[in-house]
Amino acid sequence: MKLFANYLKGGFLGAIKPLLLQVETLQKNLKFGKGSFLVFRTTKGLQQVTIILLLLASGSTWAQEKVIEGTISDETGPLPGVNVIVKGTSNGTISDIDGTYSLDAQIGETLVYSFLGYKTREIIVETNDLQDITLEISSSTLDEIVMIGYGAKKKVSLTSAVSSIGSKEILTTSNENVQNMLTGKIAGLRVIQNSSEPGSFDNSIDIRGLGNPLIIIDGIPRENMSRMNADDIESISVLKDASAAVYGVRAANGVILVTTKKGTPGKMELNYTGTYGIQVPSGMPETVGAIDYMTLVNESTMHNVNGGRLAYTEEDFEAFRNGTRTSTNWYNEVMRDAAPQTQHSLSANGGSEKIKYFFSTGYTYQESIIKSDDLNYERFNIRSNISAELADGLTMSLNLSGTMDEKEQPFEAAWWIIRSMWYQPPTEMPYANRNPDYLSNVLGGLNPVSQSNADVNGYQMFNNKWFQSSLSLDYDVPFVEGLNVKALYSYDYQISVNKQFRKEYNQYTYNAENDSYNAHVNNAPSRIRRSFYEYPDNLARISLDYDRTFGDHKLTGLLLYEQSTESADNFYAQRDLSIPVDQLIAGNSEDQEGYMSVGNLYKFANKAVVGRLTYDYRSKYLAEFSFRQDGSSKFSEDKQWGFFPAVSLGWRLSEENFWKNSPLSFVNNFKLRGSYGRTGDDSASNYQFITGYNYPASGSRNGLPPGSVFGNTFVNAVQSKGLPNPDITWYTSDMYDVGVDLEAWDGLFGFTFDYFARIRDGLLANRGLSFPDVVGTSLPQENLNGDRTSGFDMEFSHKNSIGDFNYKLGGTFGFTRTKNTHIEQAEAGNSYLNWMNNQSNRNQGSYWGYGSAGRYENYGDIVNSPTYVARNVVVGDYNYLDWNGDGTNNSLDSHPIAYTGRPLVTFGMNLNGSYKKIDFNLLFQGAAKTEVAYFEQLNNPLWAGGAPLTQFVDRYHPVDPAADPYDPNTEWVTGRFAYTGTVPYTNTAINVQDASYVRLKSVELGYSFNDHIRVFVNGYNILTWTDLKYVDPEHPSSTYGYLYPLNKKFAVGINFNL
Amino acid sequence: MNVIQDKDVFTSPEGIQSYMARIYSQMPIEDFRYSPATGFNTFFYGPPSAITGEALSRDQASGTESFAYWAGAYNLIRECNYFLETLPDYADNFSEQQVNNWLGEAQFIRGVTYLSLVKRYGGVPIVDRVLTRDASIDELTASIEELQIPRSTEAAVWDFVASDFDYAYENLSESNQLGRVTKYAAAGLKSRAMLYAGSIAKYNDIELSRDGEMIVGIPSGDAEKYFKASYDAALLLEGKFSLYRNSWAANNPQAQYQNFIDLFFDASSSENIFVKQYMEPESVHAYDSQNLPRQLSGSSSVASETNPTLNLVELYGGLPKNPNGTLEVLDELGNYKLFENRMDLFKDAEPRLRATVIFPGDELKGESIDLRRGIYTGPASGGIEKLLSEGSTSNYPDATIISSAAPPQTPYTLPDGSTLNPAGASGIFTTRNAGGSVSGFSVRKYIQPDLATANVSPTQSDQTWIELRYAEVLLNRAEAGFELYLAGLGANYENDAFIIINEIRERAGAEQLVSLAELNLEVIRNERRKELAFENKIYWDLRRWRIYDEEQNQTLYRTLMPFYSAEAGKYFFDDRLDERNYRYTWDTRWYYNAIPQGAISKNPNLVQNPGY
Repeated sequence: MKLFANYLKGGFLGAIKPLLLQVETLQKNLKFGKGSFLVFRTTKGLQQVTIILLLLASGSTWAQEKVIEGTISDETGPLPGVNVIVKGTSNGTISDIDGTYSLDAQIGETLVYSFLGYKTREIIVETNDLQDITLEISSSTLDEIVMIGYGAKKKVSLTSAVSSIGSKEILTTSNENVQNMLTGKIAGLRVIQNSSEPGSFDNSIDIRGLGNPLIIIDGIPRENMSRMNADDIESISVLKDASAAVYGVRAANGVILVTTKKGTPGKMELNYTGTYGIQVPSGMPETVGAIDYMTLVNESTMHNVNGGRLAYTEEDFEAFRNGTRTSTNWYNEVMRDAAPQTQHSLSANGGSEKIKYFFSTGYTYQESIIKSDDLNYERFNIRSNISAELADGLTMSLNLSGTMDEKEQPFEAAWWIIRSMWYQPPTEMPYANRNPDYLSNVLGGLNPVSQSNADVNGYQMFNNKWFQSSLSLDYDVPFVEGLNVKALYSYDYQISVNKQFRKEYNQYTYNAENDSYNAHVNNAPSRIRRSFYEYPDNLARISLDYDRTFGDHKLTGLLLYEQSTESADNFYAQRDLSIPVDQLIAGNSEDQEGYMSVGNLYKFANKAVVGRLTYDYRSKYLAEFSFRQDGSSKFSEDKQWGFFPAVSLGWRLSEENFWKNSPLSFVNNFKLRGSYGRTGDDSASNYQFITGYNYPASGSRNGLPPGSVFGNTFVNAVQSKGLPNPDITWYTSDMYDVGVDLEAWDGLFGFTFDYFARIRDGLLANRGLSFPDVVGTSLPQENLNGDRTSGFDMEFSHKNSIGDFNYKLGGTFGFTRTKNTHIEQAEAGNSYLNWMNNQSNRNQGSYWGYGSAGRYENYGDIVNSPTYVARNVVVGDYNYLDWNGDGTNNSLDSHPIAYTGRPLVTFGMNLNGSYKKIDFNLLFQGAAKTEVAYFEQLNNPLWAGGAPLTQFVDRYHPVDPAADPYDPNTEWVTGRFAYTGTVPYTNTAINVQDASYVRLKSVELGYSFNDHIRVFVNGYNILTWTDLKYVDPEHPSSTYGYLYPLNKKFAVGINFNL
Repeated sequence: MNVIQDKDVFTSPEGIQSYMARIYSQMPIEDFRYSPATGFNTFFYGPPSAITGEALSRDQASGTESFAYWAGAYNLIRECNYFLETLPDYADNFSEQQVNNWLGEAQFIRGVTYLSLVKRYGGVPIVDRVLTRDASIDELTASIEELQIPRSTEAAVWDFVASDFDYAYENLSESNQLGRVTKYAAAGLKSRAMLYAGSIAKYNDIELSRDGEMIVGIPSGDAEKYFKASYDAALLLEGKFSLYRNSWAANNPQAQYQNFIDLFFDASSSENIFVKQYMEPESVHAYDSQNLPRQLSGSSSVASETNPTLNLVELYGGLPKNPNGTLEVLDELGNYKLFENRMDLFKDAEPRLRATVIFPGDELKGESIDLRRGIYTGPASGGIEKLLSEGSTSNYPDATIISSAAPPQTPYTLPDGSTLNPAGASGIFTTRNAGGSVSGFSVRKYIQPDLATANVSPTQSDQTWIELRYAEVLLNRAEAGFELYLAGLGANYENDAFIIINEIRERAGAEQLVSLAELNLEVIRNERRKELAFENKIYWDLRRWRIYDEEQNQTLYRTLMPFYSAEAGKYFFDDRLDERNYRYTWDTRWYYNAIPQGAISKNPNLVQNPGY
């Protein structure tokens, strides 16, 4: 006891003691008995917390008993792992490999046989010793066990909005990123994939549009969900409402709980799944050929109101027409049509009643469509989940997992290669004089063939390793029925080791004048950089669980103490190379750097006490109350602690007699529920309560640098942090949810609907907006702003069998929108400015700009325009809407024209079925109410003098390319885009496109030869219906639209189950 | 947690140095990292000299500054004020001389910051203390109206700038670390500032008053006072600095040319008063990669962004000129003069010009800079007539001119069977993206003479910027003095100006003024434009002289296009208006920048400048 208290004292921001010692202390401290009490006491850093848990003794009666034995089976044979319990007691057992069980019971007591996916049966003990039981598969989901924060609950008794899917539903899609396998499957869970670049894991996931959720893997906050082996996952639960409040200060955006598979008793089951597939890009623009390129360039130089000229002459065109010169297709030089991807997973699962195990290993390899094959990704996963019953009622579990992954890429990033590929004119050549020994020094030196080849320009390697462990002891306290004590310690460690090798190389210009090649050095000097990051996290927790039924009253309680630290550290070394060897040893001392990334140096600590009480009256009236007292080291001592309560209620009308006797009785379950909870978020507000300086200052070498050069030496600067805010704390988030769950015809049809609102208060904002600039500093962030996110989501399910044809249909739909309730800002000078700038009480995501009044179709439209027309306007130019009718187009015409941001509406529909040995699965998924505006090369055909994408050929232009576009007599050809040289403002309706879409996200068709072998084919992003032209609708406009494209994938696979 | 407190900063010279490193880094000087489009300490294309008519650029055309320097200025002023108020509390740790020197530096930087504000906006709010000291957030927000400080008169701000420089002059030492200021930097900057103020008083006619206070414009009666202050401040440097002549030799144009190049690279130059250093890798700029001729620009850089106009070149001496001052490219028959080598036209050019501008065929880093507009395929035996009429904006005739749109070029076969690319390796190409020169010239000043082409990149240039050199102080003195002379304050001032101009010209290798009669204001101003070309000073001169709108009024700048005649086997030069038809117009309201609308909405007491 004392040792444990000492650990707590020293734990907060203190040294991390060796793992073994802590386990030992935990074990020692768990040996308390009747009447003991446990004192938690912490004195360091935080205000003192003292919790006294009095362990009430409850005497058990020991009456005469008899041994009941039997075999449990289903239609196919013995059923191991079935839970058998004497109703109203904790006395129970589990059936063994042969389906047999044995336990003590008294005559008159009721035995309850329950097993996930089967209908629960109850049998009253009579004189008969032998009870052979057959369980029926349940089509109802009511008995499903759903993981919730710090526990599990039957779906039927949930009082809050929790959606959950199991392994089978997850695995209907195969992808390198588990998050992408969830798209469209859970109402309110929104996954947007930005790119399929191997190893980039570039997607965004949120719950109901609330922001980045907290991810909990096997009870521990962990961030590497996307890199998990999907075959390891047993279930994923999404806590969408107040149910997240038990996670307190980090749970304001909801919580995703990932639970991995555990061993089940029985003979060892080996499972292997392997897939091999090819990826092709989805929506990848290409650039034009030389004739179109030169034509468009000529248009841009003719497009000058002061007098134009043709940059390319007829001879230039003729050279390409007669084959003297040939046009370069840069896409074919850099990209290939398809790239392979493969995934393998092998697991072993089994055990006895005492020891259960689940072991697995996974392998993923993904190549890219970059032709050089230098951009690829590889990952290994291993997992070992073991639990052993050490003594009666005392179980120890050790869960270990390791992930190692590596991304390799050329020194230049994929998006930069794509940018160069689009940028290069077709009149340039990848190799000077088409001689493959000489890479060509093309426009701007940006030769995508050099950039995409690691042998030429060097490489980058990103290697990550995660070690995640947790050891827990679970003890059913004797003498106190229903009481369980659990202690858990977890230690996670991530290392990232990166290597960047910038390699010097030559590109050449060929001078036909004297048949010579002129070298241009790139990437000089060669340079190696190694960086190392480590992220040790630990968490210790002790909890008391109480679960007992008193007649019709079922009561559960939870009391938990948890503390955790998260930390990060790093360093890097960089040297210019003396000899071309990609190791630091080859470096010289000139311009060497040894430093660190300041943002990845931190240590945070959290402490919390959590309590929860649930009450269940005959499964009819349900109530739950929880709280979390949470402390965070990111705030000043006065502001460290927060209290986060939640309450939820449920009423199953279907359990009422009036319902059962009514015509509505075909509805087996009809539940109304409502919840309220408060959470917080401390992520954005580190240490802003302290005055002082950042050192070194932030900066960039060719902008404002982090210091000055004095006397030939660079001196790092201190940067004032400005005014501190001693009162800063987390924002609070109040989550309201009302919902209805319905299940009818014994599981044939299910429906869930939730309406929710999240009201956040105290979002960080600078009052500086209302502070005159002369003060010279902005006010610190304060807890000022607020917003309100509301919407609804629903799910329906239908499953049925018609003869041998079994099918299941599920649908999800979610709508969410956020409105700013208060945005701190200066009072506007007039009502117009107020309307323009005041963001309070306004929905987020409105995109302001000019509306469209069509086009200037002909010269007459220009001269007769009712609004002012600039001198340089030509036929085909975009006519911006004179929105305020003042006869001129200017910033006063700006108004909301579109919605940007993540889609407001997301939906999905999943159909799976089987007929005899054939099974199939189709997932349709989509999003609506979202618009996108592109920049740079997706907006401007000759951006920065580069090549146009093919879409820009569809444009207004004079019939005669040499005609003066300002001559009223010039004849025009119409097109989708304006005459080359006119570029729409990015913030205009003309440049905004609707990015709504529906797609066949995944499809799988399988054939089972027998119980052991199944083969299947599947696909990903197969078909897309959208109005968005040229680019995939999910592909973002960020990074100027140059991100590696999304892919379509087609794979074959095989599954062995032995 | 890497939070450092005052007690860590103000107790050691190293701590003070790190504070200085911050305020020096933020100092608003128009150096290599300044862009009229994006401001101070930014990386952008389009050089400042391409809005003044000194140069043409593919990425900068007619315009004025389009960024707003406001909030950043007051942030720096706050940091200076904070230093001035805090250091005395820790003075015990240091000697009195150290403390005075540091206070002088902080006040110098504050003065530079107010100078950068007043020349842009006219009168601005004067803040000479930390406004938030000892106040809580709630107190500050409760009394926010007290913080809504109105604009002072323009004259008051100029006086404040002068007093900051005076204080700095009194307290600073005669020497300091390289890159940090001395008392002479303060005096030199004062001469620059006061010359500006005097010019405004004399030439400005945009005025704005509120409550009888002249917040824009200076009463014309103050002109003499400011010119005198400028003159006197410049005089303080007399004997302390000298024009750089380390490699100069009389009557030796080559030495004079080399001397003028070395001037910008010799760290020990006796002419440097205040410099800003850069150092790879922490603090760099992109001057070489952006401005080298295309053939030397390395592979990944944007070449030849600064292309001197023929208008600028024609200001200098040593060139054959027509009576109207334009370059003489035709013979007496009106046909083009033919040259064996392109440099022949420039063989007598003033050494300072050749050190400022790269001519077609000139040498740099051991390479001949190949600038050629095209090949003339027409007849040459009877002389080549001018391709276009004088002042024409037409295109060159396709029939006789072979151009090149962009590399890779298709060579033309000359009559002797040899081949020649239509355009030179450094241009001139007919498409914008090809990256060649657009004027026929390329900038030479500040180009590193020995930087290996392999090391030319946007993040590898680190040559020193000379913010203030003695030649400018002398020119300030000459101009301020001549203005005083014009105001009737004595012939001594005229004589002083005469001596200064000749001193500058002698070092430049240029023709001397023979008599006082040749001296006038335009001569002095043009000397400044020649001497300080591409040093980002001319923009402010054109503004304070209030001649920008005369010079840029639908103006097309002149360029010089070298052609090779296939038949003659010789070069000729065509002077013409910018082929790209980029016209320059200066809007007179631009003489004062607009105060950012955001600043006005936060402080309703700020009055916007006229015309916005």
